[in-house]
Amino acid sequence: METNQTIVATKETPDNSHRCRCAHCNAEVSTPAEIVFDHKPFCCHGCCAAYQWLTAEGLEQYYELRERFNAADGNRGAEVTLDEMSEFDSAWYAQQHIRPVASNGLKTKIYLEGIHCAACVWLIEKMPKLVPGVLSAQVSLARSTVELIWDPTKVSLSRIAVEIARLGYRPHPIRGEAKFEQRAKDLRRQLAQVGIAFACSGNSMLLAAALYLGELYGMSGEHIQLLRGASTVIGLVALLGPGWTFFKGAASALRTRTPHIDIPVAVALAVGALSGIWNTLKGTGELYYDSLSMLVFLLLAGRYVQARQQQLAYDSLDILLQLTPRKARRIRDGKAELISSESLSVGDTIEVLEGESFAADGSIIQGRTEVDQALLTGETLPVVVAAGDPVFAGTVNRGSAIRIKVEQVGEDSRVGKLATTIEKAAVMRTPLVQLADRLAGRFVILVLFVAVATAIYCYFYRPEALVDRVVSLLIVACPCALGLATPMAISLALGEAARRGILIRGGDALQRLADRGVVLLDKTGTVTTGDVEVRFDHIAKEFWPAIVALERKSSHPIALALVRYGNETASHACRTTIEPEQVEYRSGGGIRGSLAGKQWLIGNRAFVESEGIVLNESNLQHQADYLAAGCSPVFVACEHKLIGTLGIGDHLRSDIISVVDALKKAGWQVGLLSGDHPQVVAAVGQQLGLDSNLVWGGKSPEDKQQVVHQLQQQKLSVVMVGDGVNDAVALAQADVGVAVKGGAEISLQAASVYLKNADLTALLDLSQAGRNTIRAIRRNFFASISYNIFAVGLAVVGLIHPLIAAGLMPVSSITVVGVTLASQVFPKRADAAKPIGPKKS
Amino acid sequence: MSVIYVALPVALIVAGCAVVAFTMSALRGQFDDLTTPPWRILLDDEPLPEPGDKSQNTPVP
Repeated sequence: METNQTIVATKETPDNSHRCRCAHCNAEVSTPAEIVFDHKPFCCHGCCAAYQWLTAEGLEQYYELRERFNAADGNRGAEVTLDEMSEFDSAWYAQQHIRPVASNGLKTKIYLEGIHCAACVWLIEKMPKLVPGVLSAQVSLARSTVELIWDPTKVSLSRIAVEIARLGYRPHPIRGEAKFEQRAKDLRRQLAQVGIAFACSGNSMLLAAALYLGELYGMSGEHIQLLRGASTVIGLVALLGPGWTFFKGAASALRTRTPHIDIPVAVALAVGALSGIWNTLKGTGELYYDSLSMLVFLLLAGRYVQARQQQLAYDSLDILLQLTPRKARRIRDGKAELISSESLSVGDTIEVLEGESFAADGSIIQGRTEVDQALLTGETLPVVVAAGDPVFAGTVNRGSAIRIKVEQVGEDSRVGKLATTIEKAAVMRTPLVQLADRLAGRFVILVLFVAVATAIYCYFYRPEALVDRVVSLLIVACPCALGLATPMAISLALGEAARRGILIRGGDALQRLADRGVVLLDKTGTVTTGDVEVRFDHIAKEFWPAIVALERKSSHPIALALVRYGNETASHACRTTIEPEQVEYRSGGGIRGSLAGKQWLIGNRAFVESEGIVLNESNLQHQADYLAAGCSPVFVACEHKLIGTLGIGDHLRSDIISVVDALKKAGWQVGLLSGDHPQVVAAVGQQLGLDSNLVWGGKSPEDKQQVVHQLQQQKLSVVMVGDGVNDAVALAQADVGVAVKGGAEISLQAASVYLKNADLTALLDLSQAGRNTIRAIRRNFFASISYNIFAVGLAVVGLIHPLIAAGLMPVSSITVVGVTLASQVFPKRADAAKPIGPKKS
Repeated sequence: MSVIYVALPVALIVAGCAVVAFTMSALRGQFDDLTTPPWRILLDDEPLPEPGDKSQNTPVP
């Protein structure tokens, strides 16, 4: 999306206007540009260095290529230190990711941030030229990875990583490679099977055609026997090779007594194979091997397409997971070293800088800071912690650098335990019987019934045709198109969803969305923006400069909001730089400072009351108002007298009310489930017009799971939308878990749907798409079943000929594929002006 | 028509070779990434550098 907007913008602003663009990364630069090289402007020294480097090496073709591939924006060149990339030289990295290759080279795969077009591929694959010692670089655009082979005697991997970062592609170690390899291997095996089945069905059809033509023109008996024999051999290869999965699937379906599409397929294959062998040995009778191998091919191809589409969604999710750093700064003998958080052990001391997240649970041994625990608790505002207080892995240090002693790592940490709960919840999720399987179950019973009826009829009236008719009936009744119906419809929906920035992990999420139930929304970050702002202001303007001056030093979100707001409302006054004589931060309350000889207090009620301030009626009234609107009250006092109150809170997302209304109109019940203060949550619920029975506040992660579970016990299908660690268990428990952009890694893993944009209108698209997919599957089913009924009818009266069967099968499959491709699974975008990018991101 | 006794096995063997080749390439992951290789083929190769001069091989635009 971004790419397109940039293109439009370039067209509107010609190069000679007052704005120009950085020659390397294409970001806007104000003129006259501060950094100019070769008469070209640059936004930063990193970009300038990258440009100089490329031109010096004769690689300026990159910029041309980029334009040719319509990717107008590049990546900002970044100067990173060897130290930051030292991870790539560490022992654990070597052990997990580096493999030796022939001729004294080493091989590894690295994830690179920001690869987006063919020009990037071109540039990065020029690494051997740019960095001596790199032997080869192979980029995978789909996965944003590069496979490097380098000579360790000439260059270290961390040096290569630094050089790649200089070009603007920040390298990250790959995680979850084993899982990826496993999925890739499965896909490869499936593809090989599809290929074998295709070859068999093609050759079988050639032989079948020869036999039919031979019948017309008269072929000698021994030639016919030869062709029949060859046909049998090929057919059995197809059935026992690629086709074996259907027998396995049918066997496991029978064991678990669940209907499955594999059962009728296996019946047809088995009956066809056995009667085929018998007829070949006998020398007369029909052979169905061409139809059967074609059936195997079409079904496997359909399944492969779906699996591949699903793999793409998994890959995109994996890429997101790569970005979360898993590093910790361990302090040993007074020296800091960056290590992977996997190699942390209990008792280690680690340092956590401002803005970093904690790699492990532990207690603070040095320093005091504020911790953003929103991921665990859903609380918007940071909590103040000091020496001795516990901190938890996954939460973010918002204050200053602190040192902690590690107490719990990995799976033992609170986040780790949540992950275990999530896995349990995901296993508990009732498996969905696929629609096609359910229909197939009924279909099997129907076909068996008709087969028995035909057998009885033939036994009495035409005993000589009994075996032939029952066999042909069972074979032609095989619902080939029905087997294709689900994979086709689902892979189409998944592909379209991915183009819209909705990643769906499995087809069953779509089917679950077709039934209307309850949508539960998380508050912070989902319904609201998550950024706190001043929303109520009962303070005279002349006090603002002092407030801004006092709060300017703090990085607490409330302080930031106050400074931002203060600069806007009283901008002229605030520019005058008054410096407070003294400022003191108080844990869990506010700040106290002296400014121009006056004592100031800014903080919450408990804090100001503890300082001896008495609140009057109107203050309390304000506080009640703020709480009712979902805001936290802040009190400001000067010289022991309260001068005013402020309400601070985050805003509802602009589109959320219309989304909630539309969801309700579409038949969903909408609820709010949050870990935030119940009063605040209730207020937000009221603003959204939600039923108060469906609004829960102050819930812990486990409570949230309970709520979802209770709703599920009322036979409601639950869609949970959230972004935090605290939602993760509920996301896993819900029938469909939807994780929203910017969420915690763990919630991505728990959810079955991920929204790449924080735009909740995607929910509407999703619910519509769920319905439409089911509708498409049903339509496919009708198309397929009508062919089958026709064929079964012919078989019952004994008119079926293998040629007709061979013709009906592809025709019905093509109908299904055609009908599916023609159907619009996702609602058309109202804002058609927003084009979908030429590249799939 | 007796040629068919030779032609049919030969045809099947050829087909079998094709299947084996495809299976091997599929299992080795040659079809894993269908996005990058098509791009790669569009990017011009550089002329091979003359021995001795390293920086003279400016690609032809």
